[in-house]
Amino acid sequence: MEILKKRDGDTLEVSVIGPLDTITSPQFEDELTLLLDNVKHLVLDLAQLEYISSAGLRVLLAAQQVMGTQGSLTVRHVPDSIMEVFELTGFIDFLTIE
Amino acid sequence: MKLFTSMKDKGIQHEPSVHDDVLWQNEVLANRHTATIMCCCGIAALVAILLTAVGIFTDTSHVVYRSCISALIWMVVPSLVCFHFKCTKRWMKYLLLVCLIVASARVDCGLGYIAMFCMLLPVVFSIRYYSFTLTLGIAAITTVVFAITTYWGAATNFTPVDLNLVEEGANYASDVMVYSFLPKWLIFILIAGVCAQSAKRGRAMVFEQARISHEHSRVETELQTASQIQLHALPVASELTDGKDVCFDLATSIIPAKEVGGDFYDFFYIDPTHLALVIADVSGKGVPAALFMMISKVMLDSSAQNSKSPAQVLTAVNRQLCKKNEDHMFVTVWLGVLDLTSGELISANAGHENPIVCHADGSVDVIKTKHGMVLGAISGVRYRDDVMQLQPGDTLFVYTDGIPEAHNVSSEMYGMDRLVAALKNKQNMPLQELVDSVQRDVDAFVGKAPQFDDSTMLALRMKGLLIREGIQVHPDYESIVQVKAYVEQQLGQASVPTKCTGKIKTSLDELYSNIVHYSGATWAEVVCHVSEGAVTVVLRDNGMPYDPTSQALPNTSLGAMERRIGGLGIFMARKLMDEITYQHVNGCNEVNMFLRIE
Repeated sequence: MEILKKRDGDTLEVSVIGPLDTITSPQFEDELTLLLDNVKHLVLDLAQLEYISSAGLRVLLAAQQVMGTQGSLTVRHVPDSIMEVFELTGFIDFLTIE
Repeated sequence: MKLFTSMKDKGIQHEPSVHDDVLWQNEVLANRHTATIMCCCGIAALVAILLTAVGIFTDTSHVVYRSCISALIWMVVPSLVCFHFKCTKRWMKYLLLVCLIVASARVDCGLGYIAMFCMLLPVVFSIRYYSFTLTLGIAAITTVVFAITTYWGAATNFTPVDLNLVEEGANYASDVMVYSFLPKWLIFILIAGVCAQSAKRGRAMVFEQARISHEHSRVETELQTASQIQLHALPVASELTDGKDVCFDLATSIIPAKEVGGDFYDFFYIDPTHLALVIADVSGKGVPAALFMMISKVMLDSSAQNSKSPAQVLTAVNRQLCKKNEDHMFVTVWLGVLDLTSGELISANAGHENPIVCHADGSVDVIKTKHGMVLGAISGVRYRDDVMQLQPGDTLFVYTDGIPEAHNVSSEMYGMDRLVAALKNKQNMPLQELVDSVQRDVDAFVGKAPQFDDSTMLALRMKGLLIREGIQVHPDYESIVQVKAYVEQQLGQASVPTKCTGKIKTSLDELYSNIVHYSGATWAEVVCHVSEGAVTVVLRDNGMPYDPTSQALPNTSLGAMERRIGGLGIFMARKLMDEITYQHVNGCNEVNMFLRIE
């Protein structure tokens, strides 16, 4: 898994390339935690997210909980297969998806 | 603890009844004994009658007739009554002894000083009943009856006159009582006292004997139970091989020299591709060896489950056995771990007999390797792994020293040469038959000499190699990457569309990481198949039984702040796959994931 970061003032855009699973999610969480200082708007670009398991969802949930108090979280370019996971887990209800 | 209490209780309850039983058995025997002798006395009386009738006995014939006929009645009748009831009535001893008193008294007053020992008869007979009070009671009754009959006999001149006591004008009857009966009675009462003491001592001896035999039978029973427990602690070859598609055959034989022994064999799967084989011999024999054997067996078993290096296992078990070994027991062990997929056998030897390999061409090799120290002797000793290769058709034969060191009557040893000869060219003999034939050969050699040591054998024949698909791993964190790579490769080879691979990889990640984190398994296997428009992934592990399909579904309608992730993964896998099934087979969890390719 790789992540690409783009900082623009208080907006941070992060693109995830590869899977978010048991192996990669802890690494993603560590990197994301370091980046969130002074960020008001977090945008996650999932266009190249291969698949996501519950370990990845846990990081998304944590990010949503942090950004919910600190500003906003937007998820964009969600592939169909990932959208299906969001739907069946109910994440679609609280994530802001573009 | 409960077992001990109940056994103790039993003992307390049993003691009196055991005594009663023993006394009763003795009483029946004593009745038979007494009745038989009384019958014989009756026959003697009959002989006396006959001898008088033909004129050999010249005593006054009517006296003989009267005495003997009355003896016949008082001796033979009660004996016949006794035999009629098979000597098993409580009142019988009183009947017999009282009749004996009467008969003796009758003879005594009929014959006078000629029959002076008659008075002792009933008391002597009563000893056999081992009762102090009975003997004294009989002595008392005898005293009374004899006093009366002696006086009556003297007064009526029924008893022949003792000329020593006849004085002119004196009272003959009272003289008889004072000068004849009284001294006789004093001697009698002395002898009766000795008899009563003998009866008492006899009773104590009978009780002691009963206690010893009871104790003996209790120990016997306990040893038998221990022997059963020990035997059941050993695995059964057929449980591993019968009706199963396995690439090997197993056969065993164990003959302890005593009820319980110190030899044992063991075999068990470390994982589905590795079989551990153990043969061991504890120093000494009997109960101490058996106790040490159980400890060693459990330690070897649990240590071997976690390591494929026999040397490591022996090192660890040796350290544990040395810890509390004040009695200086030790055990020789040969431990092998066989890789069923390759036939590679890694083994370590702690002072045990060399293993033998019987090849498919009928030739036999004794595998000589460097031996380590016996287990339990010196702490901190290291052992060495030796590697050998078993080919399909090869038979591994391990045994304890009871086989080569079996002695015959002329103190010759069976020896390795005979053992090797017994194993030669037996490649086609069914394995259990081979093991039994070796035992028969040893038995024939030993002949009538007693068996000194336990004799134990374990044989394994490779029928072929185990072919396994998929990937077998130790389910640790690192293995997740291996498993993922394997499944990705399988899916890639079959060009499964990305839409499906994502679902499969997500579900696999959930279910496999669950095994890694929670199952406690030491082994896991993943097999991925793509065929006929569907993907099947099978996950097996030897951890705690866990059925993912029976878990409660999480609440997916909560907002971000109330959410917990627990249970979500399994839920996702169940939703993403077309079907997930679970079964628990051979102590393993088996989860099947099924997805149709769209």
